[in-house]
Amino acid sequence: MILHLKLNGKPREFDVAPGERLSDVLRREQCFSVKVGCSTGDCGTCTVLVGGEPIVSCLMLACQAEGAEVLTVEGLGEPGRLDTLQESFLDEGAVQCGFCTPGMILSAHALLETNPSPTEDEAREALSGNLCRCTGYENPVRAILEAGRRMAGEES
Amino acid sequence: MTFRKFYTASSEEEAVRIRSESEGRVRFVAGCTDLLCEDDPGEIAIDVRRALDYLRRDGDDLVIGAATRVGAIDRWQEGADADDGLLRKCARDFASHQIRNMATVGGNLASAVPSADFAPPLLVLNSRCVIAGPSGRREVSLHEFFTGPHQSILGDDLLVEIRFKAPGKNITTDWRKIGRNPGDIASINAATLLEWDGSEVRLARIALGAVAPTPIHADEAEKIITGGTLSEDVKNRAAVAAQQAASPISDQRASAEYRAHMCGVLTKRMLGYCAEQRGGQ
Ligand SMILES: Cc1cc2nc3c(=O)[nH]c(=O)nc-3n(C[C@H](O)[C@H](O)[C@H](O)COP(=O)(O)OP(=O)(O)OC[C@H]3O[C@@H](n4cnc5c(N)ncnc54)[C@H](O)[C@@H]3O)c2cc1C
Ligand code: FES
Ligand code: FES
Repeated sequence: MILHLKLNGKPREFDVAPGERLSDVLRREQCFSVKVGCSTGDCGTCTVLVGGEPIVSCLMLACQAEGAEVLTVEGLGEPGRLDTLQESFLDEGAVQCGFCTPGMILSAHALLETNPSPTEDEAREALSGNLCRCTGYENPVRAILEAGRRMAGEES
Repeated sequence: MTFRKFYTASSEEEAVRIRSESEGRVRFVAGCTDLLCEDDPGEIAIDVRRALDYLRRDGDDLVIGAATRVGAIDRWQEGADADDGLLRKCARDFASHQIRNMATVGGNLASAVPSADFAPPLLVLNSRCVIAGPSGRREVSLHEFFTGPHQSILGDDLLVEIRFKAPGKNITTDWRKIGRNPGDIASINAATLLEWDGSEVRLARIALGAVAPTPIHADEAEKIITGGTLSEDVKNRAAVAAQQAASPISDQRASAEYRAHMCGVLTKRMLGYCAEQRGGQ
């Protein structure tokens, strides 16, 4: 089947099998920021934004994303030109092995899009579907709050 | 595992027609949060999300399209105004925000696991299921929907929508869920709806999940509460009756003894909360 996506801002077409999961198609198409930690919806490492909302791409059939806008971390920034959240994750030491990081950044991105100055509780809630096995959550939460402040500063 | 065909149905009729014309193991699919965790989900997938994703009011009824996502229930103000926030509370305790953006209410009921979170709240709202098959539509009370673990009366049919009559203003409701953390699959879940006449309970419904082969009503407890004030003695007797209504199993989430015991404890807590909301009896 031919799947039409707006992937990271660009219209794309992919040839996919009816049973393929969105996570597998994205990785095949070089979006290696999409990590598959569990394949059962529990860990959140495969989080991507579909229509601006975080979902776990391991439990979505690729065909179900037909016509949708899909955002992965590849669509945020690139080396030398990082996005505000990516910068703040680095500055706050919010990354150790990095396996959970892309999912966290996308959950955080969706939060900041709708709520640019979240409280600490809201930041924690936004990360509650992203499990981390090394850094923990203190530094990522600080990074989200910091990114929110920086974005507000950029705008004013 | 892998599907060899994938269809998107744009209407209820189309979903039913594709199913009846397809040969092989056909599955309706929605959020896929249960289905893709199965080892071998099937051969032909019919996505029903486009056709069945709606929330509306129809006369006295509130109507939830089967493919309404859990996150949309959280944001449904008309529903929350009508049911005293019951379905919203349930939605907020459901899984993670990613899963809430995918999982549907209809998928939750259709999977028919004893712990399905939406079962107790929809049971106390006295919901009906609209089901469609090749011979047309039928409406079945949710009380008759579940027949055993992973079993319902659906068969090959499509769950179209869930309907319930908007309760009057004189109600208080409560929802409780026990799991390792709030987003976990429930070890026990429970809902209560009380309709009041002054300080007396005119109508009581209590439903419990994950404590029997299907979600259940605590019938005896409901009888004890109906037609009087919620004295300490009434609450205690109702709690004992709720505990006796359970026929739980032990599994990795909780022991049978704990589950039965908590049916009593949660019932008492829910009644206490509802009475408090009502203004101290
Ligand atoms: C990480 C994780 C956490 C979870 N947490 C919870 C939780 O807190 N509480 C809880 O109750 N559940 C939880 N679940 C289970 C699951 O998310 C829910 O049961 C969900 O509501 C299923 O809906 P779905 O749309 O994803 O269904 P799907 O997986 O698409 O389908 C489930 C079943 O229903 C059938 N089906 C779907 N729609 C219809 C229809 N309209 N007509 C007929 N048949 C249909 C499918 O064929 C399939 O058999 C969790 C799952 C995961 C992976
Ligand atoms: S890989 Fe998708 S949630 Fe873990
Ligand atoms: S940084 Fe290693 S899992 Fe989070």
